[in-house]
Amino acid sequence: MTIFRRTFRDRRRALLWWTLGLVVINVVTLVFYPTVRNSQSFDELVQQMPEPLRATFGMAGGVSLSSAPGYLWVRLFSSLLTALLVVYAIVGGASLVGGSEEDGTLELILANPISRASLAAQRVLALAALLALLVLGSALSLLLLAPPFSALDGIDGAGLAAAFAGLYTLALLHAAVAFAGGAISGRRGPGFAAATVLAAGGFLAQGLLTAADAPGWVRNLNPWHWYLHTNLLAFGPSVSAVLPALLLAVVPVAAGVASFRRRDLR
Amino acid sequence: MTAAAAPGAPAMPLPIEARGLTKSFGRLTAVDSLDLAVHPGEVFGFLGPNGAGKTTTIRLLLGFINPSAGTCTLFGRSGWEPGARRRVGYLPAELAIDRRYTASDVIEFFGELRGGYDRQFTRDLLDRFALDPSRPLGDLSTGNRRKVGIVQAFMHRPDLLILDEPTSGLDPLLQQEFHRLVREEASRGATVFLSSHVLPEVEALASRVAILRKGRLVTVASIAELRRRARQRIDLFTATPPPRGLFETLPGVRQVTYHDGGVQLLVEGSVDPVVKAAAGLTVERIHTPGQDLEDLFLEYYQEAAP
Repeated sequence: MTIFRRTFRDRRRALLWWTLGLVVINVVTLVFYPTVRNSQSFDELVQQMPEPLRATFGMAGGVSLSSAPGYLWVRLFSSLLTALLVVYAIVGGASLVGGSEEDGTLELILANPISRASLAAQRVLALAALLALLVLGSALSLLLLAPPFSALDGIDGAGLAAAFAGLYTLALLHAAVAFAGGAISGRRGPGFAAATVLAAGGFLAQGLLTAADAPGWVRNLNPWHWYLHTNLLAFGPSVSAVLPALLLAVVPVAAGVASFRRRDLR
Repeated sequence: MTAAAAPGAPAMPLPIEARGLTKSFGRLTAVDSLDLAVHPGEVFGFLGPNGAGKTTTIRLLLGFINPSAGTCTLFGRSGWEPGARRRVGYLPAELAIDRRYTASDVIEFFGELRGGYDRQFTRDLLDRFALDPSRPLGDLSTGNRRKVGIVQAFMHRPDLLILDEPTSGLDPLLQQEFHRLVREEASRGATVFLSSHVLPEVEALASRVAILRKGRLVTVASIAELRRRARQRIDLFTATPPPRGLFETLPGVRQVTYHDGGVQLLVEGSVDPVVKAAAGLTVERIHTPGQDLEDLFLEYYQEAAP
C-alpha cells in the first residue's frame, strides 16, 4: 500500500484547506438560519407552489423551508456543499492518473516494480478515503456548530448520516468518472470534461425534469435525482440515495484501470 | 570431458534483448526492427543524435509503451511485468518527480516500492554528490535534481542500470564522479545501458556501442573499432599557406579546406600520413575540434546508411 500512503500524504495538506473551507460554509449557513426560522412569509410562498415546483426546492413531502431540515437541505445539501465536494472529487479524480501522466511524474514511479493496475487502484482508494475524511469533517463541524443556532431541531442522527452518505456516494461517482477520463486519455482534460458534464447536466436535468413532472423512470436515470429527490435530512436513510451511485462508480473505475493497464503512456 | 555448458540447458537470460523491435507513432517509425543483445556485466553504449529513437527504445524496454512489432525483454521477461523491473535502476533524461518531494521522500518512496535498498550505500552516494536530502526538488538547481535522479537509480544496487543522457546538466567534476560510480558498479557485476548523444562519455565508459539513426541500428561495434572508423577534423595553422595538392592525395583524407591560417582536413582512420606530410611545413598550432558525435558520426552515417 505504498502508493496509497504516498497519495494520501501528498494530498493531506490540501485536504486541510478544503475542510476549513467546508467549515466556513457551514458556519455562514448556520449564522443565517435564525433569520429564516423567524420569517414565515417565504415559506408560505413556497407552500402555495405546485408540488413539482416545490420538489425542485427540496420541499416535497410537507417539509417547511423554515424548519432545520428544510433550510439545511436547500442551503447546504442541494447547493454549495454538494457543489464543492463534487469539485474536489473531480479535480482529485482527474489527477490520479491523467494528471500525473500529463505532468510526466507517473513514468518514473512505474519504472519501479509495481503494476499499473495496482497503482491506479491504490490511488483511487486513497482519494475515496480522502473524500470520506472531508465529508466526515463537514459532518462533525455541523454537529458541533449547529446546536447554538437550533439548526438540528427535527434532524436525527439517522437523517444526518443519510444526507452525508448520499453526498459522499454522489461525489465518489464523479471522482470515478473523472479518474476514468484521465486514465483512458492520459490527460486531465477529458477527466474534467466527462465528470463536469455529469455534474452540470445531472444537476440541471434533476431540477428541470422534476419541475416538468417527468415520468419516474426518466428521472431515475440521473444520479443527481437519486440523491436529491427526497430530503434525506428529514426522511432519513434511503438505499436508493447511496447504493446505486456506489455500484455505478465501480464501472468507470474498472474501465479506467482496464484501459490504463495496457495502453502506451504518453 | 567436462560439461561446461550442458546441451539443451536454458541459456542465462540476457539483461537486455530486443528482436525486431519496432515502434510506430502514426506514420512515424521511431524505432525500426531493432535487434539488441546486451550481455551481463558489460557497459553498453547506445549512441545516436537527438530524435534517433534512443528514449523510445528505453520506454519500450521498461514497458511504458508497447512495441508495434517485435519483442524486448529484461532478464528474459517483458518490462511490462513488475518483477522484471525489480532488478533495474532507471535514470531518465529528464527527471520528473513531484516538486514538493525532497530527496529523502524519493529515496523512502522508491525504496519501499522496490522492497528495500542499500541504506549505507545511499548515504555514501548523498555524501559523494554533496546532495542535501532535506530540500524539496522544486528548490534544487538542474544539477542537483540530476543528482537526485542518479541516487534513486543506483540506491538499490540494481543488476541493470538504464541511463538516459546521464550527465547532461552535471558539471565536469560531477561527471567524473559519476563515471567513477558507473565503473564501480560495472566492476561489481552490474550491466549498464548507457544512452547518450555525446561520444566522449560513451567512449570513457562503454566497451561496446550501438549507433542508432532514425530508429534504425547503424552498427554495433567495440569502441576500438569505432575509433578506427571515425573521422577526425584537423586544423593546421601554418606560417605560410600550405602548398595545394599536398594533402589531397594522402590515404584517408576525405576533405581539404583552405583558410587564412592554414588548412582544415577531414581524415578517416589513421592520421599518420597527414602528420608525416605536415612535417615538411612550419606548423605553428594544431587544433582538433572536440569529437562530438553530432559532428563526427552523424554526417558519416548519413552517407553510409541508405
